[in-house]
Amino acid sequence: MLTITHVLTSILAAKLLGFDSIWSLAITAIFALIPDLDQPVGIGKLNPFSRYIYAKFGHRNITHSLIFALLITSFLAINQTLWISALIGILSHFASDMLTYTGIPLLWPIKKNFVIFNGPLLTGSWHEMLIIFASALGVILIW
Amino acid sequence: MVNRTNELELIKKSIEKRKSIILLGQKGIGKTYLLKSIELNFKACYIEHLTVKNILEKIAANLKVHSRISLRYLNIEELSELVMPILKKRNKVILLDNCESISKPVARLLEKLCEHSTIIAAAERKPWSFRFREELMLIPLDRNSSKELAVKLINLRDNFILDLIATKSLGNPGKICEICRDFSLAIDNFELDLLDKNSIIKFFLGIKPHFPTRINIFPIWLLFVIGFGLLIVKYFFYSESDWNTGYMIAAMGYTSLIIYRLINDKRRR
Repeated sequence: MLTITHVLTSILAAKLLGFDSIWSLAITAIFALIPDLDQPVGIGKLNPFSRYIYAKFGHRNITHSLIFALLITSFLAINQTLWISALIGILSHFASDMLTYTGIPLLWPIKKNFVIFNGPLLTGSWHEMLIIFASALGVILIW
Repeated sequence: MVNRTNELELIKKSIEKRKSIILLGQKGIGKTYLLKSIELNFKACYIEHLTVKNILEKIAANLKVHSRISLRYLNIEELSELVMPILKKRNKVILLDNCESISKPVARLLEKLCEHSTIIAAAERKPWSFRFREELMLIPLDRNSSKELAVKLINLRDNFILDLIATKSLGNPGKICEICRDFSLAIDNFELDLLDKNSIIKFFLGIKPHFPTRINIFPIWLLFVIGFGLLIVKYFFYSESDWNTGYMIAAMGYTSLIIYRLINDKRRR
């Protein structure tokens, strides 16, 4: 899925779940991008180790698992609101990636990919553009 | 065919600074291809079998060293006496392929060669006996580049086939070439029909690595069950029967999904 899709869907999810403060929404958006730091394109260019991770593990591997989600958000556990908003960001990323045909290894190291609705989407296809449009519309209407 | 301009620029910089560099990456990623292109650009010396005599022989042949007898009959000392003085005068680029294991005598020779020339090596993993000053990890191609490469190889612009090739190859150029060659052969031998999607899927299912097992944790029918269940609960237990816009949109969505599923099922039959 594209970066913009993850940002919009995560903000929409946070808004729907009743998170209104700008800080929690910002954290949701940032944490929605963290799993994609495993490839050296898009947001992954910011990560100096992304080339290594991509060469060693490939895209959608360890960073798209529940263990990673819990580990990476654990340092925010002091503030419960921020922790939950970070979790919403990462989990919304997982949910939107699970809509694609390939799916994600949610229970890594078990090598099985999980999908929802039988994985009907392809990254960058017109279906995804439809999701971007719908979520952008949703965010504008809710704001 | 593969665009490796960034890597080539990094290598050019290390050649200018006379730093030894090692290209790391899995099998088929394009290490040898990159070395061969450097060989053409810099008139470098390409060496595949890493023995002391072979390295000195190849460098001597590349430098066009004059000797009374054939280089093949000279021993290591004579060869180094011939090669080293010339190497001191000019910066030569030496390319070493398959550098996974370097023996100690070869490592000693490479240390001497490093003083006057630039060494560029390629290996799947780092050798333990010799330390290169820089490392460059070659990464697999992204999806679009994989598709572009496949288009060049099979002259087909079918997105379905290109997607399958990109997925199966995992961005490895060597693997893409292999799949495309097998694919073209299968078409030439009438084993594959491009109009029949099932035969194409069967062909790709046979290629390793196999697709990871997919588990559908939320089937689409569960959405209908939950949606209608919530509506029923709301109607009977909370006695709310007003049909507002939200319900209308949801009902339209469900109906369109059911129609879509029915059409798809008909097509499958």
